[in-house]
Amino acid sequence: MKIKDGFILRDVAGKKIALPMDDDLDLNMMITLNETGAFLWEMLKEDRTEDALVDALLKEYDVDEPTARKSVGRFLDLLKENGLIDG
Amino acid sequence: MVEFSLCIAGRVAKVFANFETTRKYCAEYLSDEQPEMRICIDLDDIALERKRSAKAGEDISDAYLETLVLQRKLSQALMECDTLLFHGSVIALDGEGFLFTAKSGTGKSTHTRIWREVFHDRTVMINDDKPFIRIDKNGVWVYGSPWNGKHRLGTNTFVKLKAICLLERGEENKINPLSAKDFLPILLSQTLRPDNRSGFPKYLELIDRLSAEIEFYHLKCNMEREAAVVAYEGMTGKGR
Repeated sequence: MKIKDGFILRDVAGKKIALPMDDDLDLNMMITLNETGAFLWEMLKEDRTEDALVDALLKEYDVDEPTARKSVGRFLDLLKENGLIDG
Repeated sequence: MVEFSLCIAGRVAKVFANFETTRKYCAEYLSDEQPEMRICIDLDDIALERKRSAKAGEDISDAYLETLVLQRKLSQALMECDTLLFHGSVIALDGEGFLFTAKSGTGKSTHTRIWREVFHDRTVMINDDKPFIRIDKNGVWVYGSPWNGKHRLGTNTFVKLKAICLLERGEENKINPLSAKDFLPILLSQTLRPDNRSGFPKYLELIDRLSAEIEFYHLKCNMEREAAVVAYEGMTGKGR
C-alpha cells in the first residue's frame, strides 16, 4: 500500500495537514494528522505492508504491539475512507 | 500583440496580451520600470479560462476573459515572490489594513462601505475584491490590484495587514477572535492555489507564515453603522 500520488503533507498553522495538490481544492480532501499519523504517512510514501508499518512504529515509539497495530489499523481506515491510499 | 508593463505588489511584469482593453483595465498599474518577469497570454489561455469560468456563457467576451487570465498568470508568478492572491475586501484605517472575506454576496463590500461612512478620511479603500498579500521578514503587506470588483474600488498602494476577518450576516453585531488553526480552511479556500504540484510547498509555506503573523476574527453583522464600530473595536481593542 502507499499514499496516492498527488498529496502533500506539511506543517501549517501548527498542524500537520495533508491535502491534494489540486488548484481546485475540495476542503473535504484535507486531513489533519497527529504525530503518529504523520510518521505513518511518511512511511507510506513507499509501498509498505501493514506489518511493516507496525514494525516501524514499534521501533520509533515506546508502545506495545497491540497498541501499534490498533494505531496502524485506524490510520489505514482513515486513509481508505478519504480515498488517499493505493493498494 | 498588446505589450505593457505592470507594477503590482511591488513587482514589475511585462505583459504580452491580445486586447487593448486589458491594458486599459490595468491603467492604474502601468509601469515604465524594468520588468522582472514576462506574462504571455495566447488565445488558448483565453479558451481555457472560458471553460473554467463558472459564469461561462456566450455573453462573456474574450477581452474580459483575458483580464482573468492575466490575474491568474500573474498570481501564479507572484507566489514565487512570497505573494498570494486573496479574495476579500480590504480597507485601511489609520494606515492599517483590515481584510474581510466571505462567500460572494455575503456583504464584504457593503461592510467596508460602512467603514468608510463611519470613519471617513481615516480610511483608504485598498481593494474591494482581489488584493495581493505579500509576506516578508517585516510582516504582512496588502496591496491594491486592478481586480477591484464591480464598482472598481481600490487604490494603488499598500499597507501593513493587521487582521483577516470572516464575515457572516447576523441580526446582532458580534465579533470574536479565531485561532489560526480554525481559520486555516478559509485561508486555503480564499487564496488562489498553485496550478501545478511543484508550487504547493511554497504555497503552504506562505499560508503557514501568514497564519503566524496575522490575527483572525469571525464577525457576524448587520448593515447598521454599529457593525463597523464593533468590528473595529474587536480587532484593535480600541474605543472609537
